[in-house]
Amino acid sequence: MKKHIMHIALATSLILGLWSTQALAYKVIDVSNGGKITGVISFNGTPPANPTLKMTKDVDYCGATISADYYVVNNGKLQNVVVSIENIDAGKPYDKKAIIPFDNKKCMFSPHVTTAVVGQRLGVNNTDPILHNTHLYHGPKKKTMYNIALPLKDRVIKKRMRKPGIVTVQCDAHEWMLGYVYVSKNPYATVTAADGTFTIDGIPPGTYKVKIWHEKLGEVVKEVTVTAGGTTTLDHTFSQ
Amino acid sequence: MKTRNWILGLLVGAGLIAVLSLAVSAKTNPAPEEKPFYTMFFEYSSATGNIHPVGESPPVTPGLLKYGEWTYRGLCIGCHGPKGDGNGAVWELGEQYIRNEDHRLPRKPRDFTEAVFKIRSTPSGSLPTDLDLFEAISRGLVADHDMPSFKFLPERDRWAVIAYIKSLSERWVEEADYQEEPVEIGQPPMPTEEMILAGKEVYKQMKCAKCHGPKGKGDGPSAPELEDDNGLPIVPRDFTDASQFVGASDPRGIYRTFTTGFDGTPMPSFADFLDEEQRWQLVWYVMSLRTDWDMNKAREMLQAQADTAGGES
Ligand code: HEC
Ligand code: HEC
Repeated sequence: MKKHIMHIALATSLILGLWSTQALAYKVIDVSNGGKITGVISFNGTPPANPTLKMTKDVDYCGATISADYYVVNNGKLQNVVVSIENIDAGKPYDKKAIIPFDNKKCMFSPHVTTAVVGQRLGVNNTDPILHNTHLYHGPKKKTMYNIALPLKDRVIKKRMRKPGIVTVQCDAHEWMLGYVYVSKNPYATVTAADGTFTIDGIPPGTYKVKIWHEKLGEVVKEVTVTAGGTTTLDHTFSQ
Repeated sequence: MKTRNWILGLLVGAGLIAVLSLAVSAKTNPAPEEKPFYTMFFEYSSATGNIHPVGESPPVTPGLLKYGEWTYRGLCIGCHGPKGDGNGAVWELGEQYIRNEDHRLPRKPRDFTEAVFKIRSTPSGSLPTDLDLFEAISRGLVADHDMPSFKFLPERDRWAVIAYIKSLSERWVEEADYQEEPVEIGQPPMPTEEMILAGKEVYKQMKCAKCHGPKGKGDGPSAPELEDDNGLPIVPRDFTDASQFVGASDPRGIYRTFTTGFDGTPMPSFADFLDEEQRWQLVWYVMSLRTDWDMNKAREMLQAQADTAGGES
């Protein structure tokens, strides 16, 4: 009898589980009078020095050293920060077939940080005349998601981003190369520009949790209210 | 008193006869490979000793799963751990006695809760097929004596433990819709000198030497810093020694390895850059780097294989 109850409980939780994951999937709706979140992400004080990366392979092509691009700060404004609305189940349409460019360029990844919506594909290219291998790792435990060789120049290899979360990108052949793809559940994620600014638009009115993430400085989550047709400012200052 | 002894003697005698007849019947039994699968299902003792399954895989039932768990507890838990995360006693003890490098396994046992696998006929990023797992477990991952071969197990036990391993990660359910089809690998063409020469060119174009070195000895410029998913150092395979391969070291196995890559290691997938012809050229070039390479022998073996219509070794 006990066993039966267990089975029923199991089946129910399974059904509920399925139902809830379905409910979580992003739904495209008509957002006619959406609001906007815009702001500037800054860094207070002297940013930590970027380490000098020693390029020990393909020196004649890559060069011998380069400064890492972990902290890109211009006049106190921080680039390469991901800003993303976490809890939005329905909203503006987006191009599901879009290919998000990701280049191996001069033995570095370009861009260093980018975003993609779950289901979109990353278009990995190699503009260098040497072998790179683009190794994508999922989540904080960094488990292999894909590992693709790029022995030949200028051929875009498309790989689908199947799960939300932070994807770390490395090249085994050149161990200093490092990049990130933030895979979001919805199209409301972006990366700050060189002047630290960002804009997310087409947001249905409501109160949301917005995540601000930097590869070295960590993440903060802020609550933001968006009104119909309005613009909400969201600034944040990181410090060491 | 006397009658007691007599009864005892009778019992012992009967026991002897039973044992003897068992031994005889074992001898007269047909070779395990020739048995239909359903008999194997009921006779626990039949060890088939094969890497490729002879019978069909049984349906996954709660009973099979339970059975798989027992098999796991009996044979795999020491390395792969009670949770299946690779933190078994063998690994943990290795960590504890880190001063003595001999105590350590060179590779961490696979974490089945993460379900990232090396040996796959499926493209990089996809889960292996059951058959891939069957072959990996049967063959073992023998480089550096990482994992013993389990081909002595009855097929049912192997299928059961596979079903159990697959119950340890949500990936098998969550990502079921995203799985890509396995790569089809045909019969290898006969190797020729020209083919090997062409393969050398492919090896150069694909820049395998970056990791594996110009002569395939695993000593390329990028080799020293390579790490696996566990952050442990890993060396590219030395192609001169086939006994160190963890996947199949036959032509089709090598084809599969560089086509789909070894997920969880730096060994990437070259699927998008090679056509069928180039792949076989590359296979034969890699094979030809073995210290005991002998073209005529390879041709003979391939011919024999084609004649018996067998699979890979
Ligand atoms: C002596 C320790 C040891 C035992 C016992 C052991 N394993 Fe392993 N296993 C390993 C190690 C180490 C690896 C990783 C090898 C590597 O990465 O090359 C591994 C890897 C694997 C893999 C991954 C193959 C792949 O393609 O990535 C599977 C599947 C596996 N083991 C199944 C089993 C099963 C099933 C059993 C019990 C029947 C078992 N193992 C028993 C040590 C062991
Ligand atoms: C970025 C480095 C890198 C590149 C480039 C690379 N490999 Fe590998 N390869 C490795 C590593 C590391 C291993 C060892 C994996 C392991 O031990 O699990 C390996 C293993 C192998 C194996 C052995 C698999 C086994 O069963 O043990 C083969 C075959 C192989 N590589 C072929 C190639 C070929 C052919 C190329 C070029 C088309 C190539 N590799 C390019 C790093 C690389």
